[in-house]
Amino acid sequence: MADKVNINPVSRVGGHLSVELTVENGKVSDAKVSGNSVRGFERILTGKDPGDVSFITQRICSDGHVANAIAAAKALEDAWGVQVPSNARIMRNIMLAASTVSSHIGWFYHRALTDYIDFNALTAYQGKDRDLISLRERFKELSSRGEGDPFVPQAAGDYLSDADAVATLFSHSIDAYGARRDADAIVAVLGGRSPMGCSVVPGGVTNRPDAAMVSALVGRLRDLSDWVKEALIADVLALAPEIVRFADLGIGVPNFMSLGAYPLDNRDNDKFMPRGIITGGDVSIVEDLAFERIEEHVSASRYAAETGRRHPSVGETEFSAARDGAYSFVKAPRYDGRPVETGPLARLLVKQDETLLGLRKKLNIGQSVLARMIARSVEAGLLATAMLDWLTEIRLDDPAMAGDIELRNRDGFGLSEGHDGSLGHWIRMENGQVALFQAVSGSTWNLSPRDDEGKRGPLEEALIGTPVTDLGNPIDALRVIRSFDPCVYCATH
Amino acid sequence: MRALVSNVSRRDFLKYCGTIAAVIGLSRREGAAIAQAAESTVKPPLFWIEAQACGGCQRSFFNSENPDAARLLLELLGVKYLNSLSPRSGVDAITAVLQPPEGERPGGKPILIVEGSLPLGGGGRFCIVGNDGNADISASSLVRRLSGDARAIIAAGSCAAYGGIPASKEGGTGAARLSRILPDKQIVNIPGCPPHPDWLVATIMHVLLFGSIPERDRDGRPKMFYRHTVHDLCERRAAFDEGRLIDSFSDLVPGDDRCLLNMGCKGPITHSDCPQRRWNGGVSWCIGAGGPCHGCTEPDFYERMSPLLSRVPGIAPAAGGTRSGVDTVGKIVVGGTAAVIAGHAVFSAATRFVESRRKESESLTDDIKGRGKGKSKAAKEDSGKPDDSNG
Repeated sequence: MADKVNINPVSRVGGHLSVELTVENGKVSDAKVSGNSVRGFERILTGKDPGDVSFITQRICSDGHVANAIAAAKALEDAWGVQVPSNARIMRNIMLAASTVSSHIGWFYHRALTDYIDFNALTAYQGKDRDLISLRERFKELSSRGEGDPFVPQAAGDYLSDADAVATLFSHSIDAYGARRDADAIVAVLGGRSPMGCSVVPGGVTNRPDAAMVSALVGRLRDLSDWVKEALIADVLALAPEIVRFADLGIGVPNFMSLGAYPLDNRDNDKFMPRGIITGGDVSIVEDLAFERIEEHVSASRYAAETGRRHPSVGETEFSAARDGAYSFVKAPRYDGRPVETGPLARLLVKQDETLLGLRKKLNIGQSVLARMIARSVEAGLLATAMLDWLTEIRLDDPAMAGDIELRNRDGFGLSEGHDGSLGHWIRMENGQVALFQAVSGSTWNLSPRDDEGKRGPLEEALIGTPVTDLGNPIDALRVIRSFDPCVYCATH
Repeated sequence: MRALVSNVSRRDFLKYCGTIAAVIGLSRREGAAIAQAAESTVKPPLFWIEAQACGGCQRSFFNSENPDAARLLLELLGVKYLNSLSPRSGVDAITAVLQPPEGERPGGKPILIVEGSLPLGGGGRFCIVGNDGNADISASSLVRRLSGDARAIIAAGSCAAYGGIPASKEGGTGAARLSRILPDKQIVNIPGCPPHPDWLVATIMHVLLFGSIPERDRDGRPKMFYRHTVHDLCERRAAFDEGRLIDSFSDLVPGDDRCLLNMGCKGPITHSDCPQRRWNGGVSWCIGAGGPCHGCTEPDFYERMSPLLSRVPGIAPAAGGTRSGVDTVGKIVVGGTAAVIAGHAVFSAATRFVESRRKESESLTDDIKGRGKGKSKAAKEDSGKPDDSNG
């Protein structure tokens, strides 16, 4: 006998997400994930001046603003045959890394943590740390008046309730706002403002580096790197042994992709997060990508049926909001007909990163909820450290903008990696205007509904088999969902 | 307000209240009065509703330097609902928002903040924020239900204030500004894409401490932040006056202070205090990073500011470095914002435009000018049609 459970909205995600679970014998036997809002960026940019694209696409999502600016600039650079100078490449890499680190900090402390610790355990803290005592007293006072939001009331769950551990995590979750603010300041030193900067344009970066800029970054990058190591990574690794059962939870599709980001040379060959794809489950085999094998299906998506199964370079965005059988505004991207997971875990698997692979083996976490959590924090550490190295490569005598650019009415595409996964922009220009603009983001891949063959998207697949002991409180299902750091703003744009 | 950390002195606390007072533009004595008024021990409730948004306004808000996010959450505001932070999901979460409490709320009536535009098209389907166990709830429906009880209603960001990017005509969702959904309510608009955290925080604090919304301009924006144009406050104004402009981003040198008018800067027609307040703790700001102002605090953002990299027509540096052209400049442009069109090259961002493409762009320019003329006033008025996206 099957029960249906609807969760709308799923909280602590980006944008408006819901899920319909079918539960049989105490486990999820089917899942439909829905992105419930859309704005139409692809339509809005059609007919516009190409110079608008790297600015406006940032507003697809605040977490993805740098990734979108870069993908857009690269799409135009691809169309116009432009190679950006080293300084621009390095500055873009630092901005993207800092923005991604900011998002990962926010994910763990402000979105995920509520699923794993009992905030009320802080009131039992008996230690001597003055800041923790102060926080305990303040929280006690607020809770006594029913003012513990937005930390409590939590849903019932099997939470970590060790007072010392919870006190530290609670305190770090508050400090995390400051860490995010500081990471955003790093982006702003180069970008002018964060979120939504203004220095990434086709041809490079407008903000010509000078000594003041570099000096403003050195201390900030060191501080951020220290915080990521001493708080985020330390906290995740301390929490991991307490939540080992999540090493078996939320295993999705056996396909992982990275479109590549953080180019280390000016010909876009070598990248800090390499480009590649893993299919069929053997994570030691990484293959090259063939971009022409990407298609977006719409059979379960709220778009006109005839726009389905298109490569993004010939894609269309025609809403059909109430179409029969459609349950999401997220399209269904497929690579070679396969649903593919993207994001920090996918990137580090494609990179064959030693730290992640070592932890994965040691803790036996596979491709689970726990693997995604650990991968996200490991990636934050890698990026925070890399930024310091990249900064030393900036040359103050060199330009940050390419020379003369010839505007061409041609197609182009630009690829990058956002906080949630693989990002691609496809553009065509005619008569000096944008004639086509299509975006596929990490969350489009991850949150996708079924395709024409009825194959579930990665998150839907990851939910299968998840235990549900209380139909009114499917907490494990929510943990699986959040492990992808879902963003409907990115997914539907 | 009790001090968060036990060893904060009363002097520090009063200094902090002084900071708030300075932000709002009050005297030191009034700052002390604030300290007293703020001694209330119950945090005022706040509902933050995300509609057709991107999360940028809340991310900017939580980047506030002083009061910082810790103080906002633990001392100043009872964030009763914000989906991106809410501990619970689904029916539990959404019905807790919708059920009015029995009797008076401790902490008084809630402040309602809306981030993102509201779709008029698709029967509300373009933005569903929850399901109460019986039916889907659209963003507009939730906002209407919460607006009756609100102490103040704040449209956070350009999308909520004026429709923003989603309200572009081709968007296809009928995205509209908040005032279209709540036509009879007083709304404070805090535009910006995103708005500066200070603009949001100080407006909230004004409501909490004085029980009223700050004085607004004719576009519903608090005058204290949006009174002057970026052009009037810009540190590169001398360069403009002296005719020192760049024509290409590749002209920029380290520490360049030349005017970005020819790169499409909308500073002359944009009201905000960005040049003074600067961004992210003052580390930089758009023009300071070599990026021309996009006009993101204006009702015309985004579609009528496009192309972002094309020059605002009718503005030129005043001869001899005097201010004589300034007031005239402002007037010409306000009347003609619909005619913000490519004056010359379609894409002037990177460098020199290649001659062989110039003819293409000229015919395009004529085409855009022809469309632009028809839009000047009509575009500002609501047609009332469900598909109208310029709400």
